Amino acid sequence: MSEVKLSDLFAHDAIKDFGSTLRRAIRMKEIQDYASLVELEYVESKEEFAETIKKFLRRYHTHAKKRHLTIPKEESLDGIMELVDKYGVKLVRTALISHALVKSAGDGNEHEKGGNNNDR
Amino acid sequence: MQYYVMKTGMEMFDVCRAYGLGLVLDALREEGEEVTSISDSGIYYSVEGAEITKPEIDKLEPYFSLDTSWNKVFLTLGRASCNKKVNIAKTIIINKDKISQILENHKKCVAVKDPSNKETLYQSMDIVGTKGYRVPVRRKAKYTEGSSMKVASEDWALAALGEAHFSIWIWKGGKALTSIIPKPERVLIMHWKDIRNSVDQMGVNRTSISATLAHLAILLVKEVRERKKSGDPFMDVFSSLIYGAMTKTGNQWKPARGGMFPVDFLYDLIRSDSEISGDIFELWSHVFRIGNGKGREDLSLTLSEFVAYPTSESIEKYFKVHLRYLLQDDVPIRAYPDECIKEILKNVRS
Repeated sequence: MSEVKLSDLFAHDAIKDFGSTLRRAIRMKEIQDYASLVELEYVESKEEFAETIKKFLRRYHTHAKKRHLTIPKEESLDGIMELVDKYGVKLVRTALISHALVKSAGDGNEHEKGGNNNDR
Repeated sequence: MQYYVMKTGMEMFDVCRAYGLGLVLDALREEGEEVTSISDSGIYYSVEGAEITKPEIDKLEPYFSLDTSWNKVFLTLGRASCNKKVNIAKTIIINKDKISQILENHKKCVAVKDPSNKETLYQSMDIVGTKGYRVPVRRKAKYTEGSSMKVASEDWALAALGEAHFSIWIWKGGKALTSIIPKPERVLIMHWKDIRNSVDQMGVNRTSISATLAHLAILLVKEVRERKKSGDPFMDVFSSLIYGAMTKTGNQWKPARGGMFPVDFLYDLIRSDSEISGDIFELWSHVFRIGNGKGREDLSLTLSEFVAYPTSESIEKYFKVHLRYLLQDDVPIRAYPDECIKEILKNVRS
């Protein structure tokens, strides 16, 4: 497997697309798809990864239809599997989880908190 | 003028001697004379400072007042013995002839010789000084406490002075004490005095020794960054935090852990993007404050592991835990701004 910087993976269009979808699916109060997060965390092989993504998309589509949410593009799906082939499951998974941690901008329904210093 | 502090291999003792000498030079220099700096040159610490020809030793008097950390430097001793030891250090340093001789000795780059006047190196001064570390304590016929380690009294006095004024002490429940001192790569003494005082005022995470060290490292580097940002052309660089942890068992203090905690990753972040690194340090400090709560230890532990070993495995471990807390309504933890995550991932090591 070739070497790649995690930051390059993070900035890859396919990861961005899937990452923001994962973020929405996990952090939107109405969806909160923890099951996909847990499944993704334990993925080891390419086959398991593909299966997890499939399940995740199936769950997400149901909510996306109801709430008119954006869904990942088909080329992003191809792109993400190519990245898994090239760099392995672990790095792609880390890049995806990193997107789920990002403070969302514009996704109004997401469960957002913090952002001030009153927690000291 | 260049002064040399030859290393003995006892990390904390060596660095405290360098700080002690730096403090003496800084206190004795006249207004406008060369400022004192310390840099790590491999086998010795190089202390650059003013050439002191007529030391005004009265200037050193305030550094021996008993209201500082002296009781922690001599933690294993009772109050009376502690005061006695402070006085011994004082008579070595605040003595015109002796201090001139000490400064003269440090102008030469020579190996440490076996000294004639010796003092005990206590475990609170360097964890390797602990009795029983170097000899078998249980022998066939008898039990021995082990022998204490003796070092040259001049070196001992400088180390005690350096530790009293530059070490950061972290208590945990009155039964555990950790002494932490940053290892200088290139540091100005007058800066370090201010940085140390400011960092010492801030509360740190006490979940575990590594969490304390990681949080302290972040606060330290954050302070260095802020000084640099405020227009100071000199950036103080520390290479790691040297620490020695002790726990009290009954009436005796025993060594718990000792070692070095790397801070180079935090400097990498500053060098990569000074602006964003400030936001990252602020956020991590917030995470450590959140992680200090009961039941949230995994947050502090995974983040401290990542700060020490910034690999893709450790970041994934930490991000998973952070995400879990982000999804809990009762935990006021913040999400990451996009640019901060990018910057962190850019500096992760493979």
